[in-house]
Amino acid sequence: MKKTILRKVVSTLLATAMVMALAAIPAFASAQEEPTTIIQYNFGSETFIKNTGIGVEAVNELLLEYGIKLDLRLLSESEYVERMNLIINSNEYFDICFTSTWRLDFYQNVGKGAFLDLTDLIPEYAPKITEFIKPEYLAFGNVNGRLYAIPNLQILANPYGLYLRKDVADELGIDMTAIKTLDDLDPVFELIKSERPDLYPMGGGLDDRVWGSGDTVISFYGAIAEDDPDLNVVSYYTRPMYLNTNEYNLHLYNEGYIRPDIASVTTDQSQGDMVAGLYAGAFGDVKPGGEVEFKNRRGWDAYQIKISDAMMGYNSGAATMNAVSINTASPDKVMKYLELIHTDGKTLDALLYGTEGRDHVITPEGAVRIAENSPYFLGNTAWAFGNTFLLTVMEGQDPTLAERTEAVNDAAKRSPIVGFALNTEPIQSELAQLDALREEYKNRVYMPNYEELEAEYLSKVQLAGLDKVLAEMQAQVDAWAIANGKK
Amino acid sequence: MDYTAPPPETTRPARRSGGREGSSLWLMYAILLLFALVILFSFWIIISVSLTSTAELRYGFRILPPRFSLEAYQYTFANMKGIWNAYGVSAVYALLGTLLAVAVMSAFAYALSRPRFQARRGLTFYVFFTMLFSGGLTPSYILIKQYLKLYDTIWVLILPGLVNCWHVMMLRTTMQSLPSSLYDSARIDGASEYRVFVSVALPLSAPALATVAFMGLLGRWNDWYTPMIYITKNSLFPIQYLLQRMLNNIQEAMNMIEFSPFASSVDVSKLPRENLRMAMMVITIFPMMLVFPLFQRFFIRGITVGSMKG
Repeated sequence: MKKTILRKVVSTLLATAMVMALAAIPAFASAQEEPTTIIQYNFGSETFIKNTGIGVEAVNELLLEYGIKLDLRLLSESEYVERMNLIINSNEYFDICFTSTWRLDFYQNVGKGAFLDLTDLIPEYAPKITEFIKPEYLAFGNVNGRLYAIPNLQILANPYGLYLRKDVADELGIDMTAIKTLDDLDPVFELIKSERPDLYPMGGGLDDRVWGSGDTVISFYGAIAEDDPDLNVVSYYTRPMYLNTNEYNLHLYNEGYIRPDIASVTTDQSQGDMVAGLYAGAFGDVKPGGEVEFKNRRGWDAYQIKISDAMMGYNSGAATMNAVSINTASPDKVMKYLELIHTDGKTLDALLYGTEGRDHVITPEGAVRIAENSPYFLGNTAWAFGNTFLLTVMEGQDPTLAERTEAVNDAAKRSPIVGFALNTEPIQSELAQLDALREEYKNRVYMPNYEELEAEYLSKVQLAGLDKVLAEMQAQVDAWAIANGKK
Repeated sequence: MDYTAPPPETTRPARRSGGREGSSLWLMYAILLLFALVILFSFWIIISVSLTSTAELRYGFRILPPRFSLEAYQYTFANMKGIWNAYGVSAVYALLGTLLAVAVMSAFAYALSRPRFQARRGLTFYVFFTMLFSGGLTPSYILIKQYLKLYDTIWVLILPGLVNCWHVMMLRTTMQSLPSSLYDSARIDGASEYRVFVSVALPLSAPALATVAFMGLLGRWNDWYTPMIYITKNSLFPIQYLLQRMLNNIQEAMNMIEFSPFASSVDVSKLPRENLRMAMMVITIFPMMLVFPLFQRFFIRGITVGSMKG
């Protein structure tokens, strides 16, 4: 009897103590203030990110100070658009996602009302962003004068040129400094052809989009001629940049400077063949650090030669941006986080390179060396996350890369309609038809009946509604120009 | 009297009696043989390329690998720790999914095939309607993720795809075409509806069931889309999806470097190319190649079963 009373008393006491203890925990925690979780979607490849779960610790340590906890969700690159569209369409909760002109269409999603208007939030919660991103570059995230995404600073204007393998150039005594224009290339190609018959001088033809010209090309089909103050949109197919490119590629083909079966060679295969040593060089974007990249990617030391100047297209800055979901519960914290990754190199380093000591080490020169078998590394997609100019360089990279890249951006010739965005909705079906034709006829230059195909292509393009597309582009450009005081 | 089947020879048309018929038969054989060769040749090339080293590939595809190399297979198995697990997930997905699907669909089809069943017309319309119209991806996604809570579970692979309306129709037609006297005699012997289903309808529809099971098995084994939409846990990736991701990752590795403003430290030249693709194809189709002969004897009879009456 006594025992049971004692037992009762003891158990009651214990229970009370436990309840009190339990009650005390939340009280203690709320004093610490639970950090706000931010869900960010981006893409990443498993080749680089072997385990995302443990990597974000490094950046979270830094974010704790601001009461932010990052929940970074990386989707496979090839699935990003499909999965993200499902998440947006089903109104699922998230805070930040990658968006651009080419992956997860920015303008379409703004039109859908998926993204939050950031215009007034910047001065309130992320004022430092405007110090680091010039108004000109920030405006790439604008739609109708309101800001819906923060562009990630990176190279915005690539000069065009070619790469030539060092071993070949040195063996044949080619003077690289003498090459200034395309005309200077013919003797070089001729020399390679006669001295090294085992090689094709070039891996492929010129890229018609970036061939030396100051024209503004709008969505492949429209063009505003260089130095046209009236901003007339004309057919891209009438412009010298198009005609000359075709003519030049035909010349390359006929002279045997590119392989005869070029029409059936895929990009993949062409890259592999470059590595395997089938070509002496390749055309491509040239940029600061381009030789290192060429070496890594194609396996050869090479010289890079600039042929055309850099040109900043009307929407090149919209190629990589981060937008905020309309459903976000804490815009203040989200903006603070965005401010950090666009203005603070330390935060960005932690986000992309993980924990020092485990995921990477800092070399005596101050560069980042990725730890072998590191479980965490997002460095190769730095351009999808934040201001790449603030990032610590990786080993083997030029420490002045950021400044040099920035200089290229600032010096680049600008399209007269930088900041313009084409609304493709009214001309959707025409554009779809034109795209299909462009794909169908893409190798026409390398066909034996090229001239016939070219005429056929141009007439089909007309039938597909090119004029309607151009008229719509003109109307939108005019409206934009009036709104922005350019006309 | 001898009631065994008459010797089959007597039912066959006499061979080589009519020259025209004979030659058209030979023509048919020639076409079929050619067709078979085209398919075999493609298979052969796949296997041959999968056994070629990356370095040799620059000279193009060969009938026989210039030098036998297991490079692509080594790369695949070394880079995919989850490959055995993925085989397991695929096996569960394909086998359990098919088993459950056949059980549910055959029961459904049996009910639809009984003329006495009251709701028969309504339910048939219901099945037929979903064959023609679908709710679309987004509503399905909302339903599965937010209401059924199947996201990122093995059940999302199995449950939503249980009933294939086309297969239900096929089974129903088969069961309908069984002589009703069989059902009647079972009923007279005192069999319940369940008993009739299990002991009469099911065994007599075996060819159709096998066809449906095989198609279901193949479809589930090859499915990478469902896991792409609904699965994020690596431990729940089926083999097809895992391989699909890996191929994309290699492509991604290349793209990534293409777009990266900074030079990359990844050596793309070491990544295998077409040989890897082919090796993966061999890895995924291999189990199905083993399963096919098991079904084959049913399959040949079963494929036409839906269209036969009487």
